[in-house]
Amino acid sequence: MSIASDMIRGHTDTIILAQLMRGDSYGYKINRAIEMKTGGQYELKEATLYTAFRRLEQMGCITSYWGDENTGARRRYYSITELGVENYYRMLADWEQSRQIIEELIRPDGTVGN
Amino acid sequence: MEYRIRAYVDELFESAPRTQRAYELKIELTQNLIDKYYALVSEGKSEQDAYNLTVMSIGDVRELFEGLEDTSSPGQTAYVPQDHTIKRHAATTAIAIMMYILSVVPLIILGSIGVFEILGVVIMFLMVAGATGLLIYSSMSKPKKGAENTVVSDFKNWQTQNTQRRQMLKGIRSAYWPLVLAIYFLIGFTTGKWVVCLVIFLIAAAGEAILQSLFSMK
Repeated sequence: MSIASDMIRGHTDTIILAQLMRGDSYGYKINRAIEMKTGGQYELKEATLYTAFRRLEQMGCITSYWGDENTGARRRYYSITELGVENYYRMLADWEQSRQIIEELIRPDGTVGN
Repeated sequence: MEYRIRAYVDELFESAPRTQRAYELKIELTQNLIDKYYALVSEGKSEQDAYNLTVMSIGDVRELFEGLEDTSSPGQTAYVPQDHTIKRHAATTAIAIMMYILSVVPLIILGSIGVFEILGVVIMFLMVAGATGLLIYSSMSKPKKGAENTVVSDFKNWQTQNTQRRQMLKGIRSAYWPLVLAIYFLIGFTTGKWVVCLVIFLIAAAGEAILQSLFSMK
């Protein structure tokens, strides 16, 4: 599992952008969605999540704003920008390419393709 | 349990840089952790288990804190003293100390001539007063905080009140001993009994101790 986590961690940005493609969201909700989607197998650490938020914001992929809940809880919402959408599709394409290459390489010769 | 989460985050942020961004991040993180905690409790976890899981989910914050000093981000304002303020502070302190030292010069000159001795005393007092004012001003105006943001204003107000009080204390303290020295010279020159005047230092030391205990009691 730890090897898998390490591998997934390299795609944190893509995972977060994928969540924001569905609409604006905030830290806990995003992490909750990730947890549900993986059936509790994977969950981001808060530190990883917020570091990624900041990185993405600096890159111009996302913007943030403070929500005005009347329950007293103040949440910072994130929304994906046009540049973010563009980057998301590029990352997706990159991943697809890597996946195909890895798929080829990790099999003994002759079992896949040709 | 909610207050325990808050306390935990407070402690965690002790080592974070004191910037607007850091405060905002702290509020954001706290809210999300509380959400998580209540979700865990509603899933049937005990309060203690939910707390432990919540705290454990934070992970390594070092990486997170690293970027908080970044000045390129718009929402962030410096809470730390800036270079030019430090320089200005140093200049005012230097001038004040120079004024203390030079304050006896008119007294000596006028005294040796033998005329307007009172004027010499007055000038000396004025210079001492000016220097003291400078010192207090410079230490009170040293670390300026940036523009208010509604999100964290409450918290920062509390923080600022605290620092302002500490700054005032520092100002008084830095002016105290030069003032004592000035009084020593003043009485020494006017009475000529230098040895007797040394008692002033003993009184001053006692006075400092009393002031200190008064302030720490507040």
